[in-house]
Amino acid sequence: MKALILAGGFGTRLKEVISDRPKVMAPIGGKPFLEYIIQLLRRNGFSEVVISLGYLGDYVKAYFGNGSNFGVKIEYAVEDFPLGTGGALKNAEKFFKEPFLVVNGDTYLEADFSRLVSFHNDKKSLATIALAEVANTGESGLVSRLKSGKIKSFKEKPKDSKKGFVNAGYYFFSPKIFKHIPSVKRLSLEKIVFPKLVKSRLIYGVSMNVGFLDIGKPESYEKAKIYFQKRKVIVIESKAPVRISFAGGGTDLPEHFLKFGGRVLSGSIATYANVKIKTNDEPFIKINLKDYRREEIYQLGKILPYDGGVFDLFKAVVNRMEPNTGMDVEVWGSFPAGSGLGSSSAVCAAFILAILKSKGEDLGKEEIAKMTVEIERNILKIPGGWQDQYASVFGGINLIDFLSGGKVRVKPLKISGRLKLKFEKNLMLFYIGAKRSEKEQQIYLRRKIGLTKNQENFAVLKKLTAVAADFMKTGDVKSFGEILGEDWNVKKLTSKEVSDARIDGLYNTALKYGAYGGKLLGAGGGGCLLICAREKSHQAIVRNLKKGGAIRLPLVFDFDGVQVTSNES
Amino acid sequence: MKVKKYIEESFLENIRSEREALRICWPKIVEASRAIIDCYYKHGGSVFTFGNGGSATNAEHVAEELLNRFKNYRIPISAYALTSQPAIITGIANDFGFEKIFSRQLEALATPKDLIMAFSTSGNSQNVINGVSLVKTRGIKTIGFTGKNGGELATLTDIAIKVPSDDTARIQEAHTLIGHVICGMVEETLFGEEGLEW
Repeated sequence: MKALILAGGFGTRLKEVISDRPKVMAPIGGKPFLEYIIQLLRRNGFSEVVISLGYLGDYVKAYFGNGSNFGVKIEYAVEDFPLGTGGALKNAEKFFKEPFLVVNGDTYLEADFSRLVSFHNDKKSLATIALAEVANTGESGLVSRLKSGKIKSFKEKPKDSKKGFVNAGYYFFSPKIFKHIPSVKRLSLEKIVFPKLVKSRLIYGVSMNVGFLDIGKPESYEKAKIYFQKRKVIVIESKAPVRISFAGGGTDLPEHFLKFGGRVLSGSIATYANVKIKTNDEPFIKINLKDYRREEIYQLGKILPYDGGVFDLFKAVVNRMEPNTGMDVEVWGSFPAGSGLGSSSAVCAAFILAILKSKGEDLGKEEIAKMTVEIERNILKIPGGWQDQYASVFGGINLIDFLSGGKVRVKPLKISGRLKLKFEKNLMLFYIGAKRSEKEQQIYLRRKIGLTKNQENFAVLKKLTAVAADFMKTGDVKSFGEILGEDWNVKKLTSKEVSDARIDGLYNTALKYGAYGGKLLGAGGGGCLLICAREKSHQAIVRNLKKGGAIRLPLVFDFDGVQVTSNES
Repeated sequence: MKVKKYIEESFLENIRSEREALRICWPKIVEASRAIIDCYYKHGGSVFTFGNGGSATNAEHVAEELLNRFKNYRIPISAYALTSQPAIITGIANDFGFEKIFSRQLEALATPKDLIMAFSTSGNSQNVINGVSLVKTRGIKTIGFTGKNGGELATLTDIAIKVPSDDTARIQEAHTLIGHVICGMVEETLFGEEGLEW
């Protein structure tokens, strides 16, 4: 869609503070006011902008050029003499063959213009004026409307100023509007053209439910400066925990649970995926993966194609969430690569929440978990179960039920602080090296093919979850450890690629030095080994697993799930 | 000659020369007005005016009416007469010579987006010529107000308004009228209710 910005005025009332440049170039936070308008239009889908220039027009041209630095295409309609708002509109006639937006260059209306556009189209309107509601109509004209939305009258400077609707200086016009302006000469839209259209009942008004800023006067210019200073940058930091799955892993594969139902017992741990977002007015999204030392920059508002690389997850979140401002994004994690801890879901959930917050929205954990599943499983089509997404988003230790109808129920396991500490002291986490993604694919396919054959194994896994939960509640660490081992043995039966000689060797070493049991986390083939053992045995187990190349990682439970840790604007 | 006849002849002479000036000068008046509008409206420049004696008052008159107002109450246009500061003029005259009183001021003040209006009925006042010569090296637009012969001023300036008379008094009267007409055109075009058709 195209927009026309009327930027030719003298700015008479602002002259005492801005004398060396046109009013629309009045600086706010180091940028001209007009740049804020152009970014507002770009965010609203107006990719082509025509600027009507008059007083000191070269100043505007020199700054904005063809618009390529601002994410829009810019053309200019230049007037040699002041033409007023109506004359300036007529002077730009050749640029507009489709309905278009007209914006007064000294006014900022922080609104969603789709409302204005759809109202205009629904009514097959010739001209539609965006109205803003103000507490004190003061010197702006009071606008009254008929039931149909047509404007009944403008009252310029009513005697008693009161609450009501005023012209916000943003209009949507059909190109037929040009027939109502006979020639390129000085003419005011507000004083001449609109009153005529009102008389013929040809003009509509639609309330935009937002206030508006103008920089016409020194006082209002000061107000605008304060507004943009406050609004300028939003910095949001979010994080989401990764998870260790104790039992039932595999029954969360949709191919299984949609038929038979699934259940897992998992705990989120204080090892986080972190996302930091800093919004700006540029039309770009810059994503910096600090762990990979890689950065990519995307144009805002474009659908980003996938290439199978590490950025796909982020591109999918951007495509799904459609952030409405430019931003710098930093992502980092405190987990090793290919950990089997479900870290991609943690990253995804943290990024989703940060973008939601940057738009001033929140959807609640249920919806964020669903969205995380949608992005990873449906949009990116990465095969796998659904437990990671729910564990990362909800946090805590949970029994998660995957119902055959597709619903997911998260039941937090309520254990005392003492028991929580006991399990943290007895459980150990070891990183044994990255799982290989081609192996993961094989395991997944094998499991999928073997679903019918493996159905009993899955049934056993599912049953183990309830047993494991009971041992957790009673604080029976030994039996809990044995259940982990049992889960691991059954899991190995579902696909032979889940384990290999090295993994088996490390696991048996742990048992040899006193572990009650344990299991490999994630789909298999590498990642993290969870070992349950009494504290006394820990030293020997750590020493001997280290010989096999395993590194111990901290294990503390997280009970918050995905969360915003800092939100500054 | 009887006094009434002297008065009548002066008036009639004025009317004749103004009528003749209208016939000859109007296209240049259009050009000059347009140049002042462009200077202010497009480039945000200033207008500098200067001349000697009666022409100095014409220079000040037009600067006042551009900066302050002609008929409308409106925002001021940046215009400045180089004849209006005795300390500067006597200082330059004393230290550098009278022929430098305008050129030295312009050396300090004029930038390429500005415009000058130079008044000289003979077209040959050395200080006026020096001022114009200096700004021409900076690419500044120049308007000359002069008489029938035009002198050096007419050949140097971009727009030369040559009032077709040899009489200094009549030339200066015509310059006053033309100054008013230009101010009126600029003011109406930029700030009037309806503007002018160009």
